[in-house]
Amino acid sequence: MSRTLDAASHVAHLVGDVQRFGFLSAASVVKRYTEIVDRAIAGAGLLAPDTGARGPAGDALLDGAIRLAEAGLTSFDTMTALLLEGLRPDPGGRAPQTVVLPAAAGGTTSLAALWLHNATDTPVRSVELHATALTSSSGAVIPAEALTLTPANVDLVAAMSHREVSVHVAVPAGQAPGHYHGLVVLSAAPQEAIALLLQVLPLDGEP
Amino acid sequence: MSGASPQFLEQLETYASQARIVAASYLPESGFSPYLRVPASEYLHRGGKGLRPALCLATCSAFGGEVGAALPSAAAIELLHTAFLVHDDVEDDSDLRRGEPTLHQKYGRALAINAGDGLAVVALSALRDNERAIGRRLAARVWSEFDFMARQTVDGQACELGWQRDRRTDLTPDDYLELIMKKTCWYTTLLPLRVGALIGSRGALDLEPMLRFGFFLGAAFQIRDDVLNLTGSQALYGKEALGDLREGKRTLMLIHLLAAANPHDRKQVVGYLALDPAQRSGDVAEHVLAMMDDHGSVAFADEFARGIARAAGVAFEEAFAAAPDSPARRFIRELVTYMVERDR
Repeated sequence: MSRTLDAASHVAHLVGDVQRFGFLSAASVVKRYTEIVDRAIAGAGLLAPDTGARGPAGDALLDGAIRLAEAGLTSFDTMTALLLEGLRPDPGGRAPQTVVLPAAAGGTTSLAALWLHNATDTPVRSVELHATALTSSSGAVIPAEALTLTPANVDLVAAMSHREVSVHVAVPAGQAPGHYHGLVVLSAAPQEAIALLLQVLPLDGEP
Repeated sequence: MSGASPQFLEQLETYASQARIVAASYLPESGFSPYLRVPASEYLHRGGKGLRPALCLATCSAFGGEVGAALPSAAAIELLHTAFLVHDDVEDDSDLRRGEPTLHQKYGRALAINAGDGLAVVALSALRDNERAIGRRLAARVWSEFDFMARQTVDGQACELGWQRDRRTDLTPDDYLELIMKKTCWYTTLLPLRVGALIGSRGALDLEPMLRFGFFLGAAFQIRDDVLNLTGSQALYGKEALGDLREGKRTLMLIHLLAAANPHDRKQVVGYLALDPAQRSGDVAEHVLAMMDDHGSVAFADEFARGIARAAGVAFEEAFAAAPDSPARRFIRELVTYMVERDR
């Protein structure tokens, strides 16, 4: 009986995850279009290239934070309020924005996504991505091997298009609670980095 | 069925009829040869649910506009939608549309393709009439919305056809969502909502929340459509059963199956997709469908769509926050449920 309930609970959890996956995937598409549509329809000409000042091609590769914590969507559970963020490298040297991974306890996993946005009219090829270890303020470390970027090599980001890269962290069992910081770096923009933030929860799951 | 109220269904038919009558008026007997007019009018006369023009007209009304002001736009939406259907049926070599033979089956490919062209051309006349209905400035803005939508739609259709031609098996759910944003959502939900809101508010409304609502609604609608193509009754659905599978369409279920299948099953699916469509017999398509069931691909798509549909319900409240309670607003709220839970 208990086993049956466990199985049912597991299935219910998976169902919730699939719904959340659907919502989050759709929300990220909306976010990207929000940036395109206004420019395209409101007078700049349909899909006209942005003639504003640009840095090198790599500078334009990443574009804008994707923040899905929409006020109107709070009916989803707190896990749904995760933030999917990418980053526009700032030629002015402003501190990078951060991809906040959903909080997770030791022995569990956390998953978020970042986006490579190629806002130029030329394709960008062979982008390598690397993740560093995550380190907490107390010096605890989640090794880089626990982080998986998928894909870790992007063959092509076509002109005016986007590629999603998922960041998966397998939090080691027994990992000390705390806020862990790390970086994703990419070959196409060597002077830039995307910050990662993961909160490791105590075993009881409470922040 | 979704349990839609009789009042809702009656209002839907009213909106749809209004738009169809105006749309048909752009194909007058005196203006065209019967070789164009008869096939071009055929799908309009077969009915259809009229969701797109209804969404446009109701949104206009919900934001305080007169339904009549949005009728040329609603007619243009219906004409372009019909044009896309005609060409889509040719491209997919489909047999049935709305329970009857497709236009190219009935009149031949050449006349069908030309009828699709004709429908798109007369939609331009409807948009020209917007100047009289809503003024030159707003008509120009509405034109831009149509322009953007049309580019998105044909680009999305090209991607889908290209994926099939190139036997793509490396696609992700995100690729699929990008595709349906382009090929379905712009002309099915986003354009009707945005144009209706523009006309109803006389251009005053911020359309960003409408983008969110429109995509969630359109995506949930399209995934439901894909699921119905696999599981729905042909008599109710009006298209041939398993048509998408035979055409090798990269639906969410197929993408899931390719990702979830063991190497043996995956090899079978890849082999199936490498066949010419004519070689994809009913038996083989049924076998792929059985694999989808075994691997939970249909259930996955259904759940994935439910997540998006839940978001659509919330996004509706945001998008229509400035619209006071009215029959039109209540109609659109019920339309959300109708579109994502339909069985036909």
